[in-house]
Amino acid sequence: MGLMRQIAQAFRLQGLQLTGEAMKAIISVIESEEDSAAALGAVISAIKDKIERKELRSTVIDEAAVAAVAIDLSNTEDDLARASLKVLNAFEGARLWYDPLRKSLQWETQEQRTSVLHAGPEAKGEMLRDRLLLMQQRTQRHELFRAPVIASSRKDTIKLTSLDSLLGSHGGKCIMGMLTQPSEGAYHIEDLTCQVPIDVSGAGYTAGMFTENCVVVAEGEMVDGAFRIDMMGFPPPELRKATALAIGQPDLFGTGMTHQQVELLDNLEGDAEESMFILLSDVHLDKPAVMEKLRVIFEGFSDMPEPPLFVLMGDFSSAPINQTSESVAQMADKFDALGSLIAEFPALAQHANFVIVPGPNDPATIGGMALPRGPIPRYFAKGLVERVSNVHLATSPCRLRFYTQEIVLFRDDIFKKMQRHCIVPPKNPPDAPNMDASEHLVKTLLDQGHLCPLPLSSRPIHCQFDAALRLYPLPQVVILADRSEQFSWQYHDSTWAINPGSFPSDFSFVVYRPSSGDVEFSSC
Amino acid sequence: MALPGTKAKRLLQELRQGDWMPPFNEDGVRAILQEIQALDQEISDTLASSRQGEEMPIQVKIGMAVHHAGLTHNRRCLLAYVRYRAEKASALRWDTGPVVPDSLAPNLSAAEQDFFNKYDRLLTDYQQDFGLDLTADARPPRELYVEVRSLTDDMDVFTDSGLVRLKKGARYLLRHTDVEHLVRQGMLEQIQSAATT
Repeated sequence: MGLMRQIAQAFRLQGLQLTGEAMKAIISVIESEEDSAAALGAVISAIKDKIERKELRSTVIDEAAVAAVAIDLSNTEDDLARASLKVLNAFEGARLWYDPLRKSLQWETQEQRTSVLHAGPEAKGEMLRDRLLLMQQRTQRHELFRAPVIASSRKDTIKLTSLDSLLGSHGGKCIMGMLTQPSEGAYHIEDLTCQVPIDVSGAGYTAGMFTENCVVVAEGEMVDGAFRIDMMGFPPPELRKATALAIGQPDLFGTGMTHQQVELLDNLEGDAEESMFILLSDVHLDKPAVMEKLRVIFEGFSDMPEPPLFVLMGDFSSAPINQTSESVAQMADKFDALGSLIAEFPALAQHANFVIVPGPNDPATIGGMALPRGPIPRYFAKGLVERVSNVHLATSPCRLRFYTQEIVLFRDDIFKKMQRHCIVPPKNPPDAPNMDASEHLVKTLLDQGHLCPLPLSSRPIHCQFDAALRLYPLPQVVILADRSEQFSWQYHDSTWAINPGSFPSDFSFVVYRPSSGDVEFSSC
Repeated sequence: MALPGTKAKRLLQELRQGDWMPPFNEDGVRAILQEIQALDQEISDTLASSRQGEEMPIQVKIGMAVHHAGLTHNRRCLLAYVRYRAEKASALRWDTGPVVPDSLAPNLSAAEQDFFNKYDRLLTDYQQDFGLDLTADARPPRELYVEVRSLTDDMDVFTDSGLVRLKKGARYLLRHTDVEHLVRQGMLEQIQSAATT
């Protein structure tokens, strides 16, 4: 009874109460320790941590909470190793959304909302609304669009007019909205209030690929019931730091990290100078030449002081697999072979991380044309998972949190599709006449803050998981693995967009060093 | 364009809305910060444009004084806003304990939530050192035992006098110190006895 009283007293001083079951659980936890007072202190501080992370929402501690804490306490040794890298799959991540009522950005975790693959029709509207609202709030914050604060400060600012107040107005106006095509060939611009037909025949525009579902800022005039666009461009991007300020939280992943945890990660990141990412796309495991070259790569990186992180992206077979059991067995064999190959280098097999991202034609748990795409099923990758200790079967797209850096991995042939869906041909601006087509793509995706600003008819999206495709806040690195030619562009000195290219065509791959932010193409 | 300072006034008036306090108005605070920056810019521009050694016209001087007054007014209002909210948050710790109730949590900004947690740590560490619950008996109890009615169902709670099994609607006679926290959290309801009213 003395011990119970002591425990109850300790919790009361923290303002907490225990249920009877929780008391038993705590006694069993601290009895197994030698120093029971220290153990009690550890339990209490772990419970406090949970309250700060809002995992506990009551001052009455029950048995489940104590059990969760006991698990947390028993694996503290792995914490450091686990803290450096986290793979955030598309179907698990939190969603950042703008609440127009409270006028602030909010995180919403999967537990707070139940997202389903087969959502009702309202989900589509909600998705497009969310995208537009995110763009609007960031544009309104931009200094170019901010109304002057005091009467005497006359700066050149742009005043955006909402679409419903265009009717009956005359003179030049500046509007913002999403490009849509409600009926064949008739392009409209749409915001939360209404939609207005647009005339792009004489329009000038900035760099970028203007596709349907892109949000644009346009300058022009109402002529005969249609908005004649004189100039059109994407809303200005917002750098990661500025978004962090607007969110008002240090954690830009929605994983509920506290200030202290982010600071700790930041400090640890400074020490991780040796880390390296090796990125390969189109790893056709069925081609002997590919396996040979993989061996060369693994051999080259096997004696590194700190094992690198390998990102292997699909398609993992040069010919898409079909439903026959033969084809399925062959695919599983290929992963077995990859597993055995890696196992030949014990340093890699035990310590290196492997992230496996499916390609468009790979079998996936949530497959088909729609995005996000689920991971490679365990049935196929069994041979690899068994032989290699750190394999992450990831979705496409997925996010890597490397300390505080965000790296988005996306494998889809988006380049050609975007080019096909432009409503006006991309044009190089006068100040950059030699702009590459891929630069237009990168500008579009990063300005739009979305990996796939395409009409849903050409690239379906699981509407309630659209947040996984968003690039807001801007990540440090976006891997846009595409079958087209390699490219790497640094956007506004902050975000790298990299296409590692197709590995089998010239056996080249990308090495990214997170500590210095260097990107280099290598081949073997 | 409103006069400088009106936004700041509105921000402070807003604090009286609602039962407790409204959500942190990030947009409002940002707008006021921008106003401060613009006023500051205005003052430094005027200073820069005035020629060295030349006396400024009185109109310009008055203009600058007004701008400066507006600037400091805004700054004071912002500080008052943040301070009022921080005090409310710390008062909440004494009222309801270490967990912000779900209904109030959305009204605290992330920084305020952080402040609440740190304040809680300070208070509990201090209490731990003395082994004394400072939040207990905020108002001196009239009797040692109080009669309470349970508002929650099916829960064992461990108190100093042993285990109590709560059933919804049932009445208990319990030590005041044992149930005080539960009453504040809204899990129990104190039945006012004739003596206390």
